[in-house]
Amino acid sequence: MLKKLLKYDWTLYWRTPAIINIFLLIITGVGVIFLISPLWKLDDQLLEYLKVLAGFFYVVSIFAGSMAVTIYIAIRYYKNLYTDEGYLTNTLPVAPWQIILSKLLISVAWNLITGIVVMLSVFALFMAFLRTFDSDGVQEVLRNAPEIMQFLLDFLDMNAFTLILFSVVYTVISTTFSVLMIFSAIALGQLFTGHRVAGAVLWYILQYVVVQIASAVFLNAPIMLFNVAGFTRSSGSTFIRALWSGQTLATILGSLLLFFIAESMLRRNLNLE
Amino acid sequence: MEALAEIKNLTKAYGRKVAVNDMNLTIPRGRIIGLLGPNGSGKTTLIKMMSGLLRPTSGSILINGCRPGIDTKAKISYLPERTYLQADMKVCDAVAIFQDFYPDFNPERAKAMLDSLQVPQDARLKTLSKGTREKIQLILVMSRNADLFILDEPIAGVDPAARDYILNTILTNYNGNSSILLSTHLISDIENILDEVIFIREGQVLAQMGVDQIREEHGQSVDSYFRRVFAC
Repeated sequence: MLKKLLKYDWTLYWRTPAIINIFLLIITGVGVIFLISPLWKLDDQLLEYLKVLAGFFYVVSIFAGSMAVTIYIAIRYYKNLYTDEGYLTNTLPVAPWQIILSKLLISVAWNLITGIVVMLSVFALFMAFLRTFDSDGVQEVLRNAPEIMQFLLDFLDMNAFTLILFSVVYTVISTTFSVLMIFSAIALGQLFTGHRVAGAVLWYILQYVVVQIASAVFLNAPIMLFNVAGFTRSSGSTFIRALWSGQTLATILGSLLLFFIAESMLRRNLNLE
Repeated sequence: MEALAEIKNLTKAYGRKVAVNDMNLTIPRGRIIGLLGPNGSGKTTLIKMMSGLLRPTSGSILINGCRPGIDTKAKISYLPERTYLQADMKVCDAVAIFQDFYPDFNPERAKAMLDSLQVPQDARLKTLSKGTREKIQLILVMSRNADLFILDEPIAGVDPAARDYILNTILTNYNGNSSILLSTHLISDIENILDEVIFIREGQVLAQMGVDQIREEHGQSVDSYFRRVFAC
């Protein structure tokens, strides 16, 4: 049944995130073309304003695009489970955990796709910027990239494959956690009969504050306890790796807790209006 | 007669307001049953609890011996009083969902009914009228070979011709082993298809009796009897 749910969650809801990502790619393409065109080297007052305006428009678009995907995921989840559409979703002969897992996987996939598009966009514009204003700079960045990477690997005492694998795993886990923050807030918002959307927003803010405080404590406490005087490259890398591993573990545990909240609310407290 | 659903001491309260109050009810197999009561009497609340969309405050519901859950959802075909299909969806998408998730769904039957309604399979639901969307939903629900069909106000707000279409669809797709629980307050339109009725008032069962029994014992139609029972 999970496969079928995945199929429908993907085929019914791929359009909007796909359009947003295509829009981001188009913005990036236009930005790169303008940046590498001779227009940008002209010294004109009006052009200066236009450059600032274009830069501002780009930053806002990238930010709004990635936010739009997240908001779309939240709206789809809410509508599909707790409004009229919920009368179909919740009467399908499937377990609540399957419904949530299906939506979670699709949402994480779209968030990751959008994240990759945003990274590619920023990288493309950065390279175009360097090419236009500092041609030597591009070469230098490319020339120094392996050296910087090697320094990082040496410091962390890892090989490239382990670092990439760990980064990818951590990105997926933290994205999963972010999506589950939305899902659990929507589920808990159902407790506010008559103000369910406002309740969901309130729960989200509350969860966000709790997570920020927990992260601050979790990150700062070990740093304060770290023996700075006796710092060596070896102790530093061990410390960073332990911190990273601990944070990954905490994010996994947090994700499990949020999934449990979303699932048990759907299983035990579903009250469609 | 074997019970298809058994409801015992069922209560649903929203804060201080009690929508269903210590209700006891047995739904037999092979019957078309009218769930009748004025607006706000608890019909929809009861139906939602049976369909697993609302959690009871107390009491129990057993359908085929099981509490509302995955097993009962596979056996109940539920038509809510609202449109639950996503407007962006094509008709064929909606059919595919039912075919994929409900093993008892009969796609040939659904296709035949959709053809008779002259609805193109590739039409998006948002391009169709509200009435047509409601009929499509009814077709999908009635194309299942479920044990229990729960239809919440299927004829409310539709014109007389559509009403006939809906009642005809219900009758022609009903098989004798299953039961239909049909909620409405438009009794005169449906009383000819009913085997028995359940009268509900203020969240409690007032009476459960056969339609013939009402006619024989009270010498009245169900509609007249209802008016007498629920007279203000």
